[in-house]
Amino acid sequence: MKLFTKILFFIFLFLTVQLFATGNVSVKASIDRDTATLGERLTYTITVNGLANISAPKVPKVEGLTFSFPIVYQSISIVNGKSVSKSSFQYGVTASNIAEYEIPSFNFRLKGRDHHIPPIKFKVIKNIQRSAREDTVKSNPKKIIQAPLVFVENMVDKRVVYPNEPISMTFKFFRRVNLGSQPKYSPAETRGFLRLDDDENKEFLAERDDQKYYVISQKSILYPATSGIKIISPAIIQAAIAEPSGNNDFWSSGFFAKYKKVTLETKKIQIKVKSLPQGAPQGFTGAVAKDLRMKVKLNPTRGFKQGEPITIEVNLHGEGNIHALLAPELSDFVNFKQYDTVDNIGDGKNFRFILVPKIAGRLHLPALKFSYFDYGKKKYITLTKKLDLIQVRKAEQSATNTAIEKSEFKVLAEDIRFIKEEAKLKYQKDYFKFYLIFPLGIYIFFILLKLFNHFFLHKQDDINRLKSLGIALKKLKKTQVFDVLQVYLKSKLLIQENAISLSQVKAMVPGNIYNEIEVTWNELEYFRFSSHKLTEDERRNIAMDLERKLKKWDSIL
Amino acid sequence: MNLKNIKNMIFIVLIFTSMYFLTNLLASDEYFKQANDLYAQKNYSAAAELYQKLVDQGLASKELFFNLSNAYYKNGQVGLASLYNEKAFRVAPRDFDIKYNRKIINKLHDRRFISWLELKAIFSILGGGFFLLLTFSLYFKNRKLFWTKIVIFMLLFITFSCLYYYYYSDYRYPKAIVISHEAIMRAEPNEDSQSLLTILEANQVLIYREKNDWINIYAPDQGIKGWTERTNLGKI
Repeated sequence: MKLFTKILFFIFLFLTVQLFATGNVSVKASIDRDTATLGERLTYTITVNGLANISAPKVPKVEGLTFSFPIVYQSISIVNGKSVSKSSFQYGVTASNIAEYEIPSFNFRLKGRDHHIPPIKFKVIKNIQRSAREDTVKSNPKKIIQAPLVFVENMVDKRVVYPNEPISMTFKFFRRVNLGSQPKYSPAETRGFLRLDDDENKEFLAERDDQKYYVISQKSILYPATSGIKIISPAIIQAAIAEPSGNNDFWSSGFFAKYKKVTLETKKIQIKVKSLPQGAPQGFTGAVAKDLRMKVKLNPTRGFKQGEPITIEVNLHGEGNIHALLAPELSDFVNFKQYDTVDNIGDGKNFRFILVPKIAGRLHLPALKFSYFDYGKKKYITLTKKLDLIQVRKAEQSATNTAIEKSEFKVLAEDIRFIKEEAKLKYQKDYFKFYLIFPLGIYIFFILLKLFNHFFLHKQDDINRLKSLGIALKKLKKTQVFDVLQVYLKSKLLIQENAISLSQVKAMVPGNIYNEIEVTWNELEYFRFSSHKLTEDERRNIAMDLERKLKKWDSIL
Repeated sequence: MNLKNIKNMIFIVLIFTSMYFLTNLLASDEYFKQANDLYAQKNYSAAAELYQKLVDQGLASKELFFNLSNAYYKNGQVGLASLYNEKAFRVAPRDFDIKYNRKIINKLHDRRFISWLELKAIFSILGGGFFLLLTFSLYFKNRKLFWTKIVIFMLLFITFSCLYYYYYSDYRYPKAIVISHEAIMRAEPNEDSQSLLTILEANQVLIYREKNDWINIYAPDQGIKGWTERTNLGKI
């Protein structure tokens, strides 16, 4: 029972999916080209979205057209969790005559529903290579050899112009043979010109020297920027062209044709750009155009308020390099504050002047003036538009007045500051390292000195001796040599008291040494209290004698 | 050659060396004035040439860099103008004229409260003072000296942290400015390599490393790293 329920559930699920799938079926038909030459094969495709595993539709018969068996493509993909099926049927179509054909509309029945397939039209033209040869052979058999198979030309409509006057340049590629591959095109260099190319190339049949050519042309508009002689360099095209064999058989055309590479070059073109004539009106900014018109619109048109912006929309339209036109000149606008002008290209060139009335009352909006050189009329023309008086109501808040007063200063331009005329020239040095490294050096020196004292002068005796000697020499200057002896004995005999007596010394040193110490003690005490002033030599002798004795006692004590 | 002769020779060499440096410095001042005159006469290219000569001699001052930057700017060499303005800014980050020109030429605003140079100076002086105090304290024991050392050490630590932050954010990789009309950044240090990016004149890049005539650079705005020829860049 459970199994039966499961089977029923899956059948239900399958039917639901199928129903959902058939609900979104769409059918389209297309052909790969609108135009084909006689004998060429076109591809007619019918695409069914939303269904797979379906049989090919039956295409209605058309007189003069042969349909091949369809190639069928089927695919199922999963997008966002949903399965999407797609089937397409490609038919090869070959025409037997030169004519305009239509594959009529027909119905394609899918899952019990008819789907309408729209009609498709296309054109079959002569095979250029073959027809050209046939025509030429009929009229003049020698011409087939003389007339070029391919050639290029670059034409301009004017060779003497003014700056910004448009020049129409057309590049054409003529061929009367088939091409082996897509030709490589290097357009002409147009230095000194602003160049605007047409987005689409034109393709058509043309006759030259009794020959029919298939032509591809590209049009560009050039605007010379400055006066002088300008050169348009050659445009170059590289193509693989079918070599004519002279035989009109199957092996010498189409797939079996021999191809050779050719490089074609147009001629150099010289353009003389004349300077604009003298007598340009005041405010002329170099605009060159033809039959310019100026339209002006106010926004808002009424109900102007002090401190609220008014937009003057100006439209300049006519012929020429409209992109290059600068904004018209606004006459005196003392009572208005002007913001940056905005421009864009639409139907001509549009400018938006934003003005804010500083005061209330009846105010004259500034007049607009635009001067340009009309290359058609060959003279300067000034377009002027006066605007009406407007009534401006007072602002409701006083803050606006303050803001307007503060904005009286207007920055005209920005430039760098002037040079500095005085300088203290010096060579580049980094003093800061010195500030850091010198004290560090001092610190390291003293650390090393301490370490030296600690490790190399560690003998207490030497320290004592040197200490005493140092003090002795220092005291000697004050003729207080006696203190030297006292300090030495105190340090040597480790006596803590401030004062030291001979009896203390006697108790701590051997007798013979004591005698020497006693003699020295008495001598030095004598010097200490004597009124006799010691000479330099006497001081040196006493010091040397004392040093000698101290060294001797050091070794014994 | 006896000792007296050697002494005389040393004396003569010293005299000539001093004279050379004195003459050089006087000539430099004269060049600077001449360059200023040329600038005032709107002969910007000649002025730039003279200022550049002084810089090439190893002379440096904020005025020299500033004037050289101005001369290049007026002569239409925006990349070099930007480079020398940046050098002037590094020497004198608080100079109003330099800051103003930097805004116009380099389109840069200084957002730092204190400059790298100033921070370096503070760190050097604090460090120097700290080491002198340590030296004193080797021989003098004083409670006040101890607390002074602690305070200076803390200040030194703060300054070092700031300095490290500056270094990490701004100075870890040397900066350079594109001085040619445009610099092509390539994937490898050779001319046949794939072009990755074109950097226009006066833009700043970071230098990663150098190899012969090629420099490995990083364009921070685009986040692209590549190689360009040495002649395209001027190191700040």
